[in-house]
Amino acid sequence: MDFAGKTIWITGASSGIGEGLALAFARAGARLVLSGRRADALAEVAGRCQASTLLLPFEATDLAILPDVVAEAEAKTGGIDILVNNAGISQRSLALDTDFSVYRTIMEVDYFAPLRLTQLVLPAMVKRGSGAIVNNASVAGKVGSPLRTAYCGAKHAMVGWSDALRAEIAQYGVTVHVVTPGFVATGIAANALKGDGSINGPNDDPVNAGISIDEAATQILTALADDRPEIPVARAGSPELMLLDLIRSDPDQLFKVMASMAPQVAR
Amino acid sequence: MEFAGKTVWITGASSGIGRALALALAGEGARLILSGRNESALAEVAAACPGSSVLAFDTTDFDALPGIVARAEAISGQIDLLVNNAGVGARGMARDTQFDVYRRVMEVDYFAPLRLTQLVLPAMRARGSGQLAVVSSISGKFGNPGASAYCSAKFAIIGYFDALRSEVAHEGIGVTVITPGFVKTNIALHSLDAEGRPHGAPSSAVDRGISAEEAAVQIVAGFKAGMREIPVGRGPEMAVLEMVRSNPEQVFDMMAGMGAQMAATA
Repeated sequence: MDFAGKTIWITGASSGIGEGLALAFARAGARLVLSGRRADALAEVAGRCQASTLLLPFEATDLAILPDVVAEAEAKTGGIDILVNNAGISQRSLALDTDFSVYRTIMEVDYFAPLRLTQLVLPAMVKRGSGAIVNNASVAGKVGSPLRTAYCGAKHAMVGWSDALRAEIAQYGVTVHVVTPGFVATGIAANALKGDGSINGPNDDPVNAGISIDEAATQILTALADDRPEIPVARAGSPELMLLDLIRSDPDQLFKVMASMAPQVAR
Repeated sequence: MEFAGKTVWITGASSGIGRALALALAGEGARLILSGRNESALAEVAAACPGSSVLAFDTTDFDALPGIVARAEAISGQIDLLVNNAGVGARGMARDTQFDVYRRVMEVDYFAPLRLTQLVLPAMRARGSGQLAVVSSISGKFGNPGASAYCSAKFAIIGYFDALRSEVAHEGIGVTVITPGFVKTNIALHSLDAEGRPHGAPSSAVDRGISAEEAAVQIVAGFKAGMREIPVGRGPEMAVLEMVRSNPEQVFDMMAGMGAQMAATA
């Protein structure tokens, strides 16, 4: 896949990996549609993108407005070549302490919102016979991890949906890519939900010591250029990449490793 | 784990894998709490399971679940093993599938077992023992065409249970994920179609599957061996579970081939 002249729509583009992707795709010659909740933050990112950029702020979970949002994106750009479902929210709380409503909130943001957006963007891609859906999941979409039961549920759902969808639409020239970032230094841990649904806030989460958003974006673009269906993103040799390997080579050992982390976070 | 004298609570126990598992565990000496929506069908299963109780409810009636769990614990004193078996299938290409179908499948196959588990967990934790299990599917391990809603929910419940296992293992609570392949049950008949109607048509693959009784034997053996993941089946679909670990891209190609074939014959 190449990016020059392509129209690429990124959700969650105002910060983190979405911001890094916007800047990287701009450098690669793409035209951008940037979405997120905060119009001012999107405008700030757009100002640093040397590219034709359409700002399309919306609340990702306001599913009723999505048909109009998609119609506007398509009308103003002439068509979406690549949709990057990047917006998402994480969690930091034990299952024991997590309100049932938090499971619903996280599934809404991390699964239903990108699913619905994709459902609306796909028909034009299928009709045209080209396009790509890039779903930013997480290592937590492959590996069950402590403090993340809701996040793992939703990100696993995204992976299952993506893998099934890929099998259905490859025949129409539309590809599906699953990105599984490990630790990337973004606001994800600070913005994560706690068990009562409140925001985690500033913290010393290991994710904060992860790779930069620019490095993450470089890894993602390199893998997309190579048409990789699965795109792990992390520091070379990092524990997160080892977990992704271990769940394939020896899942039972992986379960033991993950369980060994729990006593440190138990109450 | 051993089952003699243990209390096992099974949802979806009126037919299929749930019913067969109830009968097999009764044979191991377990006391059963049999749940489902169809009280008369549950009563028939109960008649073949000495010492069992029937507790009929709709797993998606979330407001009622705290009261249901209290009743189950009152019946038995304690739940030693919860088997979240109730579920619904879904068939249909993503491009045809109404968004509401994705929501309904997620309610039945993810939110309902999650909520029941959440309510059963505190007593197990206080006691420092217990086993939580879910019947997912091989569709919770690899994505297959015509099943995007089902794969989503079955992946999701595995993600939740794997994460939960990592949190509760050190407290003496075990978590078991069961992934059946083709088992000859009514799952295809009851599956939702792209518009949310019961599918109403049999699946030749399901009908060629192992019997529910054989599935139950495999599941009981898996519990006894302390397996964290119990694959259930013996057809070619079970080889895909291995292949998705050794060579996932080959599985993606194979599934895309199936997807093209499904579209051509639709």
